[in-house]
Amino acid sequence: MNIDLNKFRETFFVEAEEHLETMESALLTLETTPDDPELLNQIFRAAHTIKGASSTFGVEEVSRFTHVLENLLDRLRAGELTATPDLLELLLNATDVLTALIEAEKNQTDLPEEKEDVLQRLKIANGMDADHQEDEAAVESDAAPTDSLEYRIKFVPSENFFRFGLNPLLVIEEIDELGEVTACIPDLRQLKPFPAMNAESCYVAWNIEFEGAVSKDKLLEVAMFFDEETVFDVTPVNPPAPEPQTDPEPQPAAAAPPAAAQGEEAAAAPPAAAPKAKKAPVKVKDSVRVDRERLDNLINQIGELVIGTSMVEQEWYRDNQHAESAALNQLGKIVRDLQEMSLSLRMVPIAATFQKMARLVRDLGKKLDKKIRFETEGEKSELDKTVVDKIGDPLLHMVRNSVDHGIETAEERLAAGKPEEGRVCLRAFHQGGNFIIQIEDDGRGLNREKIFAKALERGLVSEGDKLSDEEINGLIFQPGFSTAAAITDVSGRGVGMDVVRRNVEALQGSISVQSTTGKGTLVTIRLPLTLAILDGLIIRSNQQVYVIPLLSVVESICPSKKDIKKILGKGEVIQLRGEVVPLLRLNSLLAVRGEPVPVDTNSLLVIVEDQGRKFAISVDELVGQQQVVIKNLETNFQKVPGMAGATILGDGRVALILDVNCLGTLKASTPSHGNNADAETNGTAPKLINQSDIPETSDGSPKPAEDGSNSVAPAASDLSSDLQKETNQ
Amino acid sequence: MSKTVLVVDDSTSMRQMVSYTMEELGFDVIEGVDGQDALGKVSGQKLDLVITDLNMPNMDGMTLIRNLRAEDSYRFIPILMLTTESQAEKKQEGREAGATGWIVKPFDPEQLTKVVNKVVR
Amino acid sequence: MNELDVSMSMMIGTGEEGNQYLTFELADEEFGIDILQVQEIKGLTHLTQIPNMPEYIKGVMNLRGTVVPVVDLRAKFNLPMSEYNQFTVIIVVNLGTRIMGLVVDAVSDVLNVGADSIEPAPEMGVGIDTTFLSGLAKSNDRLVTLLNIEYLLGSPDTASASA
Repeated sequence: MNIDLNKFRETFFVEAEEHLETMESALLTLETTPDDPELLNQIFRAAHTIKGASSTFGVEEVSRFTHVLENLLDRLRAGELTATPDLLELLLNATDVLTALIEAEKNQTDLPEEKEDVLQRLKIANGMDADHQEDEAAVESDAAPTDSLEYRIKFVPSENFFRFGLNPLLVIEEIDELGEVTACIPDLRQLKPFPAMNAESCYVAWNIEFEGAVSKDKLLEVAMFFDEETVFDVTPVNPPAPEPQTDPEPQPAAAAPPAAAQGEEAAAAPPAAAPKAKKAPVKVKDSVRVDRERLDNLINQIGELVIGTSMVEQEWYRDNQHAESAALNQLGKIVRDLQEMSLSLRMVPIAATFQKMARLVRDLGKKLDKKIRFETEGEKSELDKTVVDKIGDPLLHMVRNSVDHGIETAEERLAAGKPEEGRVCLRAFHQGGNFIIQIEDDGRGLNREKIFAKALERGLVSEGDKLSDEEINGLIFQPGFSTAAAITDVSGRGVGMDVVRRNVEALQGSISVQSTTGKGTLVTIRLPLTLAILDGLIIRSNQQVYVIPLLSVVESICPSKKDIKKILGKGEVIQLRGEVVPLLRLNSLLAVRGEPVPVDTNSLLVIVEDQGRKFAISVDELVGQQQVVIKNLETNFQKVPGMAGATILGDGRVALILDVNCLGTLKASTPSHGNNADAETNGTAPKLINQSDIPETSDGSPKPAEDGSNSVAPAASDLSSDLQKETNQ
Repeated sequence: MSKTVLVVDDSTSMRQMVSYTMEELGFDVIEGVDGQDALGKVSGQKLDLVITDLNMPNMDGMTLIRNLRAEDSYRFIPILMLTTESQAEKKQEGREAGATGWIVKPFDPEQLTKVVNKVVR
Repeated sequence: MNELDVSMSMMIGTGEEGNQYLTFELADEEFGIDILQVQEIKGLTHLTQIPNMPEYIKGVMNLRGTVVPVVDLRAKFNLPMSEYNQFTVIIVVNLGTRIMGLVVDAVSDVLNVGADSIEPAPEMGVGIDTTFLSGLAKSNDRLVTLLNIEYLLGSPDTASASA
């Protein structure tokens, strides 16, 4: 049988990586609690498993390296060595090297250079000579004779033979396979009267005559598992010179085949009839590994099922105006439940991502000689795996920032009256329909003056500009923006906050920064819980259908004309129970090029709220409410300003999903003038139409800052054009 | 009327490899990730063979073997240990716990098959 | 809207040497694109308009569950716009990383052109951007303008977001 081991290599790599993560995590914890025996066991077992599996799957380098590591760990857990900080450091390094080794084997690239060095240090720590080689168990193969030889075998099983799960019948069969058993004579001298015999013991022996082209050693192999009391003597019948047969040493001594009592046979060989395997109730956490692509396909397909069901529902209700269909309701419910279940399949806790940060903070802190305490909150919070995978890099960058630029050195902190140890905290929690991640540090915070100076340098602001705190903080999201005096080799490598923001936005999320100079910085990332599904309010505007995320919808109203007021002759607002809410005319915000913009006289308003900002959106009609599957516009197209994505409705048509937050930053076009500028859409940040000639009566949209919100407006160019306008006045 | 084998190993890749090999040999396979898990899955279940690793969390191989041997149904079935150590002590300890035989890691499916054929047909 | 889903296998002839181009009509001119990039041909279908986009981006359509942007080549080439009718088709091109639709007047046929029958695009003078022409193909008395679709659709104003 030729089983290809390669298919298991893949699993081995995944598994090894998991074990390495466990090791690293346990080692880090060991630094604070060096004597925890359970941790030591955990680390040992992880290394042990990797060693065993790696040698089985032919990953030699890993196996060799792990072998030495494992010895060291074994001594550690046995108490022969103490877990000094140096030793722990060495073990962490070893884990790193192992990780690199696994990577190298997986991708067939060069082995890490540090391997030898760390290996030597491991050996030294273990008290071994630097180049001590362990003897591998050698297996000799004996030359098979060409002629058939005769042997006499004396097989006397011990009394306990059966209790080891051994079966004399199988032994004889095995011998027979090597050649031919010409005679098999039972020796019944040990048999006792029935009542005196124990049904579980063996009392029979055999004398076997055998012929075959095999060596004596080959025959002795049959006795490999026999216990010491069992006798298995192999004597060649013909010359060559008879070897003394008395030694049962080489292998556990052979045993004579028990034949005898059928009752014992029955006891030794369990009855044949085997009922189909039934799984007993599982007591430990049981999980199944599923290929990622399959899972994604399943989830996508279920999404399509939701759309298909919607289509059926629509058709039905079109043809049967007021009739209810119990069957359809049932189906709809089942399908939506199915969808919820499928999405939860991909939810994973963010713990692993946070864990990676722990290591980073520790190493970085050491390197920069800063005392930093790393805390996490809510790491059990779950998020769609696709999001978790992509949020890692942005998080990494921001934690780096905190450690490198945020937290001061011990001296600086003491001088500032702060505790010597700095604190970096990663927090995750659910809020509304979103997943929030916060990175907080108690470092020196953002420096207003420095940022302003840099912005001045880059021409983003002018001398006399007055910017609110949010606007200043928002500047750090500009490409290439860094107020670090020197680009340290730690965080200087070209990943700026603009890339972070882009990554977050690509996940349909948003990012904002709050900071108090001298006290610290708080970065908040807001992500949708899942990328795929949205509860939407379907509205019509300008004969086009759009979707507004239901989560953002507060209410819809039909106000009277007198509640709508103009501001400064430009913007419009509505008075809503004492609150003044900006009004956006959707048909002019979303005008299509080349088409005239109809004058909007209706007053059906949908009140939406996002991140503390409220808007009133004027629409033509409310079409309905349904769950939609979000389709990414960037896949084949690009990011469209003001849109969070697209979806396919029940009638097969594409509908755009409005991004409520961004709507406020779109500039409107004048009714009946059409859009007259070129929007350069290069897709990175939402860009605006340049309104070179806005007549006085145009509808403007309010600037974000006026709302007094505490999050930063995302559009960089929005800020710049606003600033330009201010300076032009 | 196929035979049933219990495969116990906390290493997924090893377990998969052994299970796959055993399935190719015509066995029905029950998998356990450690001793405790394995015991939970086989109470009352008919078994013809057990292949178990030694070093596992929650309940190691030795304890599993002892527990199995304590049950009437499993007193006489062949139990093989997977061991990375070829030292005599492990084998001796295994013998005392009631193990039938052992396979030393690293091993390939061929070697596994050979050993299996020794103890169960 | 009628859906003419014409499968490419029906249209490909056996061309031994040279390249194959799908030719189509646009304002009385014949154009050709590499057949390997053509995924399918659809009849005109409902297009969802996208606000605040250049005029040649006519909208997006639903292609069996995928949202695909549709470009009107007349608008892209600054040719006068025309009414869409029952002969108007959308050529769906697959550029590996992206799928896009092109609105054209009508599809002609598949042209086998030997490399020696293709002339490089001539310099047409200022004002006419010929960077996305990969050449002019001559076949009998036809002159087909070969388009470099990737360049055409990959140019800055239709480029996809790079994150």
